[in-house]
Amino acid sequence: MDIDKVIEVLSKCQTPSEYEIKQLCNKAIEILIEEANVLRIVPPVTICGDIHGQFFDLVELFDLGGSPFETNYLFMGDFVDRGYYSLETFLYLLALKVKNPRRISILRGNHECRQITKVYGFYLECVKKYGNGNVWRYCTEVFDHLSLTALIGNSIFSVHGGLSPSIKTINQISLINRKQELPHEGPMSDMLWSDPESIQNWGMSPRGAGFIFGNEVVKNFNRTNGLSLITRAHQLCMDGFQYMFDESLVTVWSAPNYFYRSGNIAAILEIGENLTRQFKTFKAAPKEKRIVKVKMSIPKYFL
Amino acid sequence: MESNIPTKRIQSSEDLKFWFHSDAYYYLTQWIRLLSIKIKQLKNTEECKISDTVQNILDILDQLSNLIDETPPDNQPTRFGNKAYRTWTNKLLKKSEDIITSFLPEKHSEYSSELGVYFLDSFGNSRRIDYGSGHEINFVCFLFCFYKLGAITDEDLPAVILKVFAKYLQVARKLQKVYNLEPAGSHGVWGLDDFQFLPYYFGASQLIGHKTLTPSSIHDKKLLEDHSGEYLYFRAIQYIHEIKTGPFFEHSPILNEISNVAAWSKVNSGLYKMYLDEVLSKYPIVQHCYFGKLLPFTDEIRKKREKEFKESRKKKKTVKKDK
Repeated sequence: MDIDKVIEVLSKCQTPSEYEIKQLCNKAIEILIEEANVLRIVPPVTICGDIHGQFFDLVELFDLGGSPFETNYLFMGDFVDRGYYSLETFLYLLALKVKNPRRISILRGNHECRQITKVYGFYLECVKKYGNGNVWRYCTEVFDHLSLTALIGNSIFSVHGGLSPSIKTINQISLINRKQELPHEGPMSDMLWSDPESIQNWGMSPRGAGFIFGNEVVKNFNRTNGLSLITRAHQLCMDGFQYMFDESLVTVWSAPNYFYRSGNIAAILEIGENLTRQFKTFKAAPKEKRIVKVKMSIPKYFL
Repeated sequence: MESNIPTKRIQSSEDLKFWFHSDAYYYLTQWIRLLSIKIKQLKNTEECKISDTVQNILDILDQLSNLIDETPPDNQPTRFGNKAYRTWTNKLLKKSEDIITSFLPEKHSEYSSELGVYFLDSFGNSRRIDYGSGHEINFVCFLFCFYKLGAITDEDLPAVILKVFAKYLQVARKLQKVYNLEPAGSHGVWGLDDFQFLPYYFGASQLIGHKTLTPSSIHDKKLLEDHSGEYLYFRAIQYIHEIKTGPFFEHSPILNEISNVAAWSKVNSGLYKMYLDEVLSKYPIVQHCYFGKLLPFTDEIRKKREKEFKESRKKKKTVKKDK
């Protein structure tokens, strides 16, 4: 596999051959399998939230944040589902990771699993583009190997969803066997499904997975683990990002004008060498930059 | 014995498998098919029999709509949806006992709380400030409860969709717009619509055999405007234009493709299959479904059918022997 050629193809929102995708996924797994459940990242790094297949908005993100060949990035999951280009989005980030594993870090989101992608569009997209489910299978195997969390400079903790009542210290995360389909419950599931809420402690999540957690929980976790900030994604933000709990937790959301209706802007969080924080926001790519080349066909139910 | 207070029962893949064979699944699927048949070729403006029970539901939906006017969006900082929606929900909860007891006659009062659970969960989730097809299912279940108890009869069914369901959609859309509700569990470009499904299914039935309006008529802005008051399907498309940006083929590709189907009858039957496959078969949605006495998580109907099947086979064998 010629990784530069694959990157070139994907950067134009085109898809490589099924064989190249298989090779890319295998190569990615070789790299990811060596990574810990808690990635240790040395700043500077730019933290990004959900993308959900919005490839042309990912291009806007790179225009704003800097070339992925020259800037360190951490993506907090949810690359796939809902948008047109889940495959191109995920594979592009994967190829960048393979090219420069220390520069690009990618975490697992709750959509990076078989059950969810069979419902929310990624599976359909793969079958539409390749005529069969092989590419989906290769990608879901990669999902199983994605890291769960990151620790930036020892004081910023990043995870897709949020905290788990089973995890009091970051060291406990290392004990999880992450290389599996996302379970329905347990600490791995919690970290990818939970949400912060304006309460003090823990509560049941209306999502049906994970929990909601409040101010006391975050303050305790941060104190116990010597953290200044938790960054997470998982929830749509009108302004691209939202602080909670006296700026000890922030949601970062990187899919602008979500569902073509939300009118939200998207954000990235630049962490400087000295752990300084700067948010940058961006809008959806303008019409002339968006190409819709996915030719949908009449669904099977109507034939 | 099933409890009167409906509870969520689908929590595993085994539960999901059982759901397909359950009495609740049977009742719900037959119910929506029946409703579709009863409004075939009827406009929203059709004169229908409106019983006291149906009128009461309409009045309550009006009350809910007025409650939105009395609870304007606020300026509190928010992640996305407006927090005044939680105020609206709390107001609804405060009134809920009176509302719920008004639905059914005295003889059915033991089922009021069951009805209440479905009704109160038909308007979105106040914690997440969102709304999705699961809430729509709850409203349809709510309506089914009346039918199961005989409080609504076959004669009432056109009004149930053309008046009650149409008004429910008005309230739901008003909530979505005023409080900026997030779409709950939308499939994005891979799904039919971010918020609703059944208006398209019922709406297609209304249009079966229409002399001038075809599925591709949805692309004509003038036709949409002229007919959105008469047909659920057209109103649903018009609503999408009110809130989405960009070309229709880009933000709503599935609806765009369906507009290429030749006949409304095909759209209607296709949407039924799609509903079963993409809504009622999906764990993330049905894990939130409630089951009580009226929509029970039992499989008595399947067991009965299996028994009848075995008995009929026994009879056939006996007949063959005699021969």
